[in-house]
Amino acid sequence: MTLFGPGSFLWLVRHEVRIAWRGRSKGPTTRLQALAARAPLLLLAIVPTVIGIGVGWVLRRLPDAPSPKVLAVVSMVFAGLFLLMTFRAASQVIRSFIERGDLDLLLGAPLPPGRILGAKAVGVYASVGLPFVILFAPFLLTSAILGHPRWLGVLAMIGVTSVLATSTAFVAARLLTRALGVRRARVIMQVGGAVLGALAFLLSQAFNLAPQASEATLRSLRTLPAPLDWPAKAAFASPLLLGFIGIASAAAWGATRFAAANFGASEETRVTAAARPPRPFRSGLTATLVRKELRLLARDTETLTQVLLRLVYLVPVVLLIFRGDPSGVFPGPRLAAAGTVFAGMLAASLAWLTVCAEDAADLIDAAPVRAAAVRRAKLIAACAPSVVIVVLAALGLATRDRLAALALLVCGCIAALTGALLQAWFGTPAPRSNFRRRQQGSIVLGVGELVLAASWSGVAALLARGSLWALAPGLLAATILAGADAARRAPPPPASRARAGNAIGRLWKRRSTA
Amino acid sequence: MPESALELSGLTKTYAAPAVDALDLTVRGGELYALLGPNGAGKTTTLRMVAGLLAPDAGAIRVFGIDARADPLAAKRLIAWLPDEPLLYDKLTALEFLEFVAGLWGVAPSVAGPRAEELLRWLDMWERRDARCETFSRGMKQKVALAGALIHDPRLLILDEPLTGLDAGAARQVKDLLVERVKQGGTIILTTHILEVAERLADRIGIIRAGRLVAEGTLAELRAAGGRGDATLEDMFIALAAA
Repeated sequence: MTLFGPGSFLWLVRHEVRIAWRGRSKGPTTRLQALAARAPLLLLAIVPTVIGIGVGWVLRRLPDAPSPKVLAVVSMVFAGLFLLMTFRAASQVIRSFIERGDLDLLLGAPLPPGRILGAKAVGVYASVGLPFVILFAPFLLTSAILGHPRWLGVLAMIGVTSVLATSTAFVAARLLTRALGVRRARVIMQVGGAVLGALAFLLSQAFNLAPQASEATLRSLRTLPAPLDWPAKAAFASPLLLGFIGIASAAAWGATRFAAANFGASEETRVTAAARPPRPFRSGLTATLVRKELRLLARDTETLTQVLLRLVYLVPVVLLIFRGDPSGVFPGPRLAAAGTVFAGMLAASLAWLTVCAEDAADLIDAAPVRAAAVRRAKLIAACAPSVVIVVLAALGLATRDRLAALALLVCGCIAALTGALLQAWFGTPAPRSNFRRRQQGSIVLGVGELVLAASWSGVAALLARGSLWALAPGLLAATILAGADAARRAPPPPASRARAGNAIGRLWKRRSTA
Repeated sequence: MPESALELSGLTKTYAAPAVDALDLTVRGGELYALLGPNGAGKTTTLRMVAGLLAPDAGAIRVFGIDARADPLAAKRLIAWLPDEPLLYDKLTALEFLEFVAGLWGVAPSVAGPRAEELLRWLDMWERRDARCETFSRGMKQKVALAGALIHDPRLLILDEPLTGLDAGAARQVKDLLVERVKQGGTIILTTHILEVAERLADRIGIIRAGRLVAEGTLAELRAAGGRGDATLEDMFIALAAA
């Protein structure tokens, strides 16, 4: 058997990486789509390279040995990285070892089980550690060439961190799945990972969001006591520490192999639900549809965390756009603006899930209900979470700034409704799992959604300040909506008519007859 | 003469080539009608048009006398459609799914609740009523989908390959259920590749090829028409499908 031959360890690792990659992307059907599918790979290679070389050049004159303060910051970054990797790895472990359901196929093959499980474990290591290696390697390699070879230890430390985190994740995933079952364990890992990711992002924006507090914190930061500063010292090529941590990670790898050998399909059977006394059925078409949509949204933790993460990434941007309040004044307009964007984007994302990602479109199409009633219920379900959040936020805001609260209430609800409508008018039917790629189909829709939410956000901010200029972004939003309405009423070209094979797609097109 | 449950006249649907070609077909009330044909013959396209999932290019569909093209909602109230791939929501429990379907068809909760229990018990799924559909096997999903099709007590049940993926026990349960429905006066149209099922269960059999009905009748009538009294349905099907 050759190194990469069928059945070899590396061949199995390649299989794992390929499956993991294809799980994240849609299979191309045309040459153009195949090229488009490679675009993110190209970006992944180019962007960190360009930025890394640039940053390496700018920092070339820094001293090779880091100051205690830098060591403290780097140690904290590694601690955060470890937590982030652990949650991410745990999700991957559950997905790779249980949900994918290919263990029976693989273990049924005439190959040593240790090789198969080891390859699966390496697949998890790779998916956790590689993105960070790709991200930092250009900067560190540039720095090494420009006189900082010791900094290459950071790369080794990233590898070691990923091994330690993945090993921890194996143990955590095993304990959690045994105690709580697969579904709950996965939810905990996904939510934990999302919260950590959001925290990391918000921390990275701390200087923009709260510059004075951030500088004060940094000033107060001196040194970390050992062994808390070991990761940073190892990263800056303290050979003894790097060796020590390396040995620890090798031990962790051994533990992982042991955990992996005991992991598997047997866990699947734990997903059972104890039957409860049946509760009476409830009636009402709209209530039935809304209840079903809300249940599906609430139970799809993975997609929901993706939705919320996207929104968290938007909030600092909005706060930055509307900054400039005099110091000491309550930032009511900024909060109203951020809340409005949040409401609009949340409703648009949920509308995509309720309208476009209908799992049983044929079932609804075959039911004796009017398309308009279904559409209305789906929009209600998509807007309901936004409206609840907006109302609660407005109530809170009203205690400090009533005008801002009113602006948030009005603009937030309008942004939610129009964002959902835009998605309902132009969203393309697709499986729920395509949420992350939902805007690849229409860049215009993605941009329109963002500009619409930003416009309502502008209205909210200016309205909260009592400015008549609020009319200007309001006019922009109205123009976008009028344009969208005209575009949806125009007859589609024959090609797109042929593509609209999905029943829910027809459901929207049938609205004029319903 | 029993009332017609379904009348198709001149039903036509064309994609790149005609999938259903001016099809005329009548299913009587209270009978189990098996629609057979080779792959790509137009069976599923026909049934999807009857269920209101696909608009015909031409022709008429009448369900218990209701013009399904003119008043699709009235026709849909009488129909249940069960495709070969069960239409379920993975994140809903079996009971929640049935509640949802009952809500779609406007079944009163006081009727739907006990009916759901009856169906799930009958299909040996009552103990799993609070488990999410994502945890079910293929056969269990098919059973829940079948319960969903029956919860609104349809007069016309359309089944597309209902036994696909079922084990012998589950298949037997489904077949018993179909026979029971017909005894109670229900009408069933099913497609199947398992000719033995059609041979044993169907009152009448229609064989469709290239979107056209090429033979129709009881098993005895088909044998007589073929001139072979001892022929099995498989023999006749292969002869007609290849002709």
